[in-house]
Amino acid sequence: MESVTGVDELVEMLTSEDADTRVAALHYAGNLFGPGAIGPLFELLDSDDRTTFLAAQRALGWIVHGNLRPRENEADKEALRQATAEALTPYLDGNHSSRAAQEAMYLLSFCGGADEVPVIAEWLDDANMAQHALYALVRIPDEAALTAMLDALDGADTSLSVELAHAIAQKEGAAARDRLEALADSGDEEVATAAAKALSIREFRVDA
Amino acid sequence: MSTMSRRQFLAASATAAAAPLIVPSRVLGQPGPNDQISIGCIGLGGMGNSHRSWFTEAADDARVVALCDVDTERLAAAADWYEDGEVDTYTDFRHILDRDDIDAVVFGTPDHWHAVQTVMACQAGKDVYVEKPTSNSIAESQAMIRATREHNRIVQVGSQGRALNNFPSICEFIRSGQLGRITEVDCWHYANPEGGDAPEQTPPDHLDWDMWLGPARWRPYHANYAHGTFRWFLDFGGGNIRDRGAHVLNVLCWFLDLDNTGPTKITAKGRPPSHGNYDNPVTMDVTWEFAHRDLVVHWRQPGIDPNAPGQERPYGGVYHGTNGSLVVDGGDIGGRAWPLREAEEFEAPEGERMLRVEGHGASGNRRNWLDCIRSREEPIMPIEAGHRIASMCILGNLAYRLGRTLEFDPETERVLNDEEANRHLHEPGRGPWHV
Repeated sequence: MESVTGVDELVEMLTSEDADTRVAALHYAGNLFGPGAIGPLFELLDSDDRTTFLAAQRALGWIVHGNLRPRENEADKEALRQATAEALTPYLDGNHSSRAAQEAMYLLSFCGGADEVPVIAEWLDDANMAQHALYALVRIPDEAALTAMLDALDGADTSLSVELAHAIAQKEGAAARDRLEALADSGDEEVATAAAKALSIREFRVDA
Repeated sequence: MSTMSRRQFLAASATAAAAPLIVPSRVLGQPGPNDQISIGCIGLGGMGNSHRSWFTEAADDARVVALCDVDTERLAAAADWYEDGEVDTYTDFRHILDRDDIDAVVFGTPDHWHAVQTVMACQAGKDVYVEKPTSNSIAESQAMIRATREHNRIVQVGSQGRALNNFPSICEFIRSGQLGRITEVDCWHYANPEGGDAPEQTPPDHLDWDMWLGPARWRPYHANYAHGTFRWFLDFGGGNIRDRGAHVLNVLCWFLDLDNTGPTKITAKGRPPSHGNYDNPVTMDVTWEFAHRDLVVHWRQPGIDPNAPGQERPYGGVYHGTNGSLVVDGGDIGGRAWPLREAEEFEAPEGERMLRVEGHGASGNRRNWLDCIRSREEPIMPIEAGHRIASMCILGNLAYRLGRTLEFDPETERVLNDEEANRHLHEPGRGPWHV
């Protein structure tokens, strides 16, 4: 894809004091840069300079969306999606800032597939990150995302079970509905109430 | 706004003591012909307060009995317009939905709340007036439609252009073919603002930030998210295309009979912001193609303002037909048609006439809602129409956000051959706030 020099130039443009240069960099990001640019831009997310942070955050969005553009060759499209997702998962290893992890989770909601689901689901036990993980798992259409949430119900405390019930309600298919119906009969009143409520709202979804 | 408070007004009024306080009978589960309609107003910012004021002061057959806002300062300011004990106040709207003595609710909340609150209100058996734009995602307004129909509720969307007194004639003028077949519409509006940045902050004590966010993805508080500037964020307001677009495109869909369909191809480009955390494109140029109608609609932000003599609003649409063109500005609090002023006086033959409501603009839209609550007839701005208008705006923003053209099936309401784009059609909810 792009050369290292290209990424360096992109970073330089994004951190420029000139507004037009930063805007041009965003357009370049969406049209010219692949997964290789993701790492250098993530480093900018921890910048104390708000303009730099925002420019990097936006450029990352443009890159991810650009890489998910429909292509005639399905294999090429899938390879680029996978490479994009793989470039994001390192930021969920627990050694990066919560800001970086949240951003990775958000971007994975658009490009993540079955391979990324386990990495995301590991964060369900983190009270501060669980809602970001659930956001991604709700949006990822792969069956693995629903399975991960159903599996997480085993051993989950009341608080997480309630959150999972509402997230599962946003997934289509009989498996989600059946588990919610079972939860609605749960001995934990808080969980049962949440599941019943989630089911009652879910019925209005066209794809439910 | 009047400088006299409700409390001062009542004190000064010789008839204040005689103000009727009729308890609804709800013999049939809804207000009877002689009952006042009990209303809860939820969200008390700019439009929310405008609604609260109108239903309090201008509607003899309605009574505001409950107020709700997640900001206690706003709540107190609104409550100050009432006598002690006249209204109950809440910071959680669910308490209003739980009350059996409340017939209807008005949502003047930020856009990201509209769908969840409307669905829950329908489930609770309330009729709903929900501010525009209808929703933040296509899946949301699909759920709103199903909840409305399943629970047989009267849901009016707060896009009031169809209630502007001169607009039914304009609609009839265009629909009757006076311009020939409409092939292209050029909508214009001024640009979105840029900037608005601030360091992350601690929410003020009077604001329940978590509840303000509601269904939206969690983020730290910034003063420029709330209140009114939520408009300039894609996750909350979606910019002028969704704010004013919900008016300009509302009348467009009405004029051109597009309430039950959608575009087949959407292209957008724009200038992203260079600084600040407002994330809407500053400038924007969207094209919707309705291939099945041989029609193209443009949203240009900024576009070329015709600056017509007598023009009322700095936004609108230029309708190009095979026999001529017509400019229609506004569509919210006013608007005129030119140069063919006769369009505002046009009368279609019996059977082809559009509904004329009592009242003008927002007042007419509100009045029509109250009338429909009693009659159980379809309101002038139904949820299905709101859905299609919001969908145009949502798809326009999505095409910009993804940087590519979208091919859309208006029947299935799915983007063709674009898996990522379809992931955007349902915005994941947070906690219990989802559809």
